[in-house]
Amino acid sequence: MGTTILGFCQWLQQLQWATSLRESSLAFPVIEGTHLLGLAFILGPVLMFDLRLSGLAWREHAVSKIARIFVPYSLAGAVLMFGTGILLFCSEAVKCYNSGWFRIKVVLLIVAAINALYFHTKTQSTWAAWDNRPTPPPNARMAGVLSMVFWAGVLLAGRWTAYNL
Amino acid sequence: MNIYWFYQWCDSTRLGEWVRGNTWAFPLTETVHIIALTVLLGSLFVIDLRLMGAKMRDLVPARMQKELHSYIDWSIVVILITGIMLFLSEASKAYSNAAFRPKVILLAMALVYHYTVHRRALATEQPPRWAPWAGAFSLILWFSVGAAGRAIGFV
Repeated sequence: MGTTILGFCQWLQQLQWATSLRESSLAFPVIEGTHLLGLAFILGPVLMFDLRLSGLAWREHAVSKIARIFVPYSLAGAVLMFGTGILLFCSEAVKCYNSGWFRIKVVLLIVAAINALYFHTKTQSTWAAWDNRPTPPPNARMAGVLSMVFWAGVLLAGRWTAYNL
Repeated sequence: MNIYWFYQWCDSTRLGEWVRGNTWAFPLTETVHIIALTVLLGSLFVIDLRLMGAKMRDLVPARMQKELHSYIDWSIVVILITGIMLFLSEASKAYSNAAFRPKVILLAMALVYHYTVHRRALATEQPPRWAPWAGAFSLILWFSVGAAGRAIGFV
């Protein structure tokens, strides 16, 4: 199994466009810089909703309103981050495969997604009862705090992938 | 006037030596730097989009500023502290890095702009007519700081 994935990564990064991306002194930094600064695009709106859920900001605004305002922006940001992230991965697939931090990053991304999905499918169904409450109930606050923790972990593991730690 | 001696002195500070010498100190400091940067740019991103006219229901830019200004101020504090730590740990390198001085100049401009013009644009419930420009310029300025900062590691 492991060798199959490794083989795929080797095949991926020897592709001509992946190779030239890896060796480019302009395209790679630009894409990597976009991936870094794109964090503001995806996580700015995510943070707004997390702050509302955990009761730390936007307390005078309905939770559903804050969600409707900011979630679309974060989805647009996610497209940007996935696009640049996949390009970066393809260009350094073997390095990523060998990096423990990259695996942690992927796991944390999945965990953050599960947290968000769980909230939007389960917790959100009780929304009407506390939509206007400045401080949402504990499970909703937990979802907001966990989201911020997971995303901080994604940032850490992502940066440390590049360090080769 | 050559101020290389100043950079060398920074390099020799105890804090600089500690960050440089400790395996985990530099990566951890930089990670905190980036997390705080994400809070700062993320908050400014939503405020500035709103200033530029993005529809966010009945959110008023000045109210958004009230919700977020403490997060913005604290993230700036954390970014400056961790940034100085990172600088002290490789000051001589920064001296000869083509992206370092542009970044510091852009950062100084962004800070001055943020606490003067940008704040003015967010001071009143009814934003001034030039508010969209103020938002656009804020985004351009801060993202330029970020881009120049990232470039330090590449040039």
